[in-house]
Amino acid sequence: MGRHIVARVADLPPGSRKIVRVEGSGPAGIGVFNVGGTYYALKNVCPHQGAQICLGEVTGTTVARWSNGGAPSLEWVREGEILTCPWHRWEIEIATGKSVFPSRFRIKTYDVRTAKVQDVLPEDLPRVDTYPVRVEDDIVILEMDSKK
Amino acid sequence: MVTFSTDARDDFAPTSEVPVTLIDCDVHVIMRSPDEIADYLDEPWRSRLFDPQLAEQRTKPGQKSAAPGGGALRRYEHAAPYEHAAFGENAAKGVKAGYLPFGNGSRSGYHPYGDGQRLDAYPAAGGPAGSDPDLARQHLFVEMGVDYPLILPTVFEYGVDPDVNAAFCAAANRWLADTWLTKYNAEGRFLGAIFVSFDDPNRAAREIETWAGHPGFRQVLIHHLSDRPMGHPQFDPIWEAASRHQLPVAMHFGSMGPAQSGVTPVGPFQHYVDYHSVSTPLAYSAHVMSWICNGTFDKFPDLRFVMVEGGFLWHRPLLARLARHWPVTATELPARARDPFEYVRKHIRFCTQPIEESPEARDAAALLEISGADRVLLFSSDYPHYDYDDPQRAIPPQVSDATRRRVMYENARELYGLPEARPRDRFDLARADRDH
Repeated sequence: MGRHIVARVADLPPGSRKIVRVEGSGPAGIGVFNVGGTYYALKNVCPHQGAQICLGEVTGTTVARWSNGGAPSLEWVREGEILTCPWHRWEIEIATGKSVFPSRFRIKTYDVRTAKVQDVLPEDLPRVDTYPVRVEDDIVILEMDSKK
Repeated sequence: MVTFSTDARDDFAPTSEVPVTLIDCDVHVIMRSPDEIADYLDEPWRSRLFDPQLAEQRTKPGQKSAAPGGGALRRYEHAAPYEHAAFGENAAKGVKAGYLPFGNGSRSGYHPYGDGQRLDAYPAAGGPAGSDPDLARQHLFVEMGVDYPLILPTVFEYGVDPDVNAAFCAAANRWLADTWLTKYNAEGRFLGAIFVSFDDPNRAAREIETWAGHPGFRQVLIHHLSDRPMGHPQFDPIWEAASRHQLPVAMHFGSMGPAQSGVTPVGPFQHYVDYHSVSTPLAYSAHVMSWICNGTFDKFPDLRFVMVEGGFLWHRPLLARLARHWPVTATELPARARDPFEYVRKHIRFCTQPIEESPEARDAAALLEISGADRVLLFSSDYPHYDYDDPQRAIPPQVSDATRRRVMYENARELYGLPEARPRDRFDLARADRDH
């Protein structure tokens, strides 16, 4: 458990992702995503049938806009905010781990923050094996202990 | 055959056995390229349909391939509208709007699933999902824990010409025998199906005769989009040959010829989700009704069908409607069974995938039990397709343990005459390593 450096900010730009395996993450690991400059982390297990969901396509979704009378219009929204499962293509909000369609399904999420290496006390930050960083780097820190 | 290691310390000696607890009745494999079938085709088809010079022309930089992948295949003017998208540009992982030309260019003609595969089933070195034996074995044997997969090969159908269709079926069977049943099958786990085209039943019967003695082929495969329900006597030669050789017949989605998919009795579906939910069960219900009412099972008492990927629960209420007529059935048919469900118990099996889901899992489990899952339902995954069912998670937990065993392996073991245990092999060792 605890905190882990999972990437340098420079290596995880908006639209990118990384699967990390750290103590307590389970065998499939945790997917760390950069959506528009904000980092999120999701457990890499789909609640439907157990696929490695963080391998799926990041996309948008469709919403139906209903007006008074007549057929709804379909719009494409939230491009880059939705993760689709590589198996049955269920749509999950990256930010919350909740399914886009109404359901009780939810993926466990984890806190992620960034910091400069030089601002973090070394003993507070176990390093992932052989992960090279310099003191002036901005890094992405995964918090395993937060309850979500 | 049972062998024991003489070294008592050697728990994982390859000569020991493991119990068979998971039989997967729908697994798809495919050639790396459509050109691969050319090597197995008889003449004149090999020369008429494939031209290596075309492949050269088509791979010039900047020139778009006119054929779906496989550059050597000539374009055949009267080819069926169904082209297999697996080989084409849309087979690339993550393509949002893949094109599968079902129906008449309706919305069921595309869907956001690329070419309809699990995104993690594409070989890293390239090629369609289901074309790489190493990846397939890793998924099936090591990750899923399947003991025996029943292969239903994905072979691109050709068109309205029964000679060409028969030639492709013969080539596909030679290919399967050569590759997945032999070269890729040192451990003897993969089991195959004799693929036949229904548009020339006599030719199909001869193809069954050709392979009936081969130990790797455990059933016959036919597609379902025929132009008559298949109890029509024109199809009898196929059933005669299959039942004489004690080979079950697996019916799977697909077509030979210009059959249109996604069409209901009242016209075509517009969308993918409705088409995918119901069009195959509708067609299968016609075939099942037709076999019963034409006396197919009375003519061929050893005949058994496996209805693959077409649902399961639908058969109960629909055959109950037929059962209502049963007291006066003799005025129309010489059916001998006590009721239509007797034919189901003796002659028809259904595969689980895509398993009917319900927001209330209790209901799904109850419906499975009431519908006779313990007797007629066989587990299937449909690996590597996108709507794959995982063996650990697909069956609702409320299903009884006894029924679960019947579904996951006992019903299939009885149907295909498979053993209760098999030799332990390298995949069992790899699977055990994963768990530690």
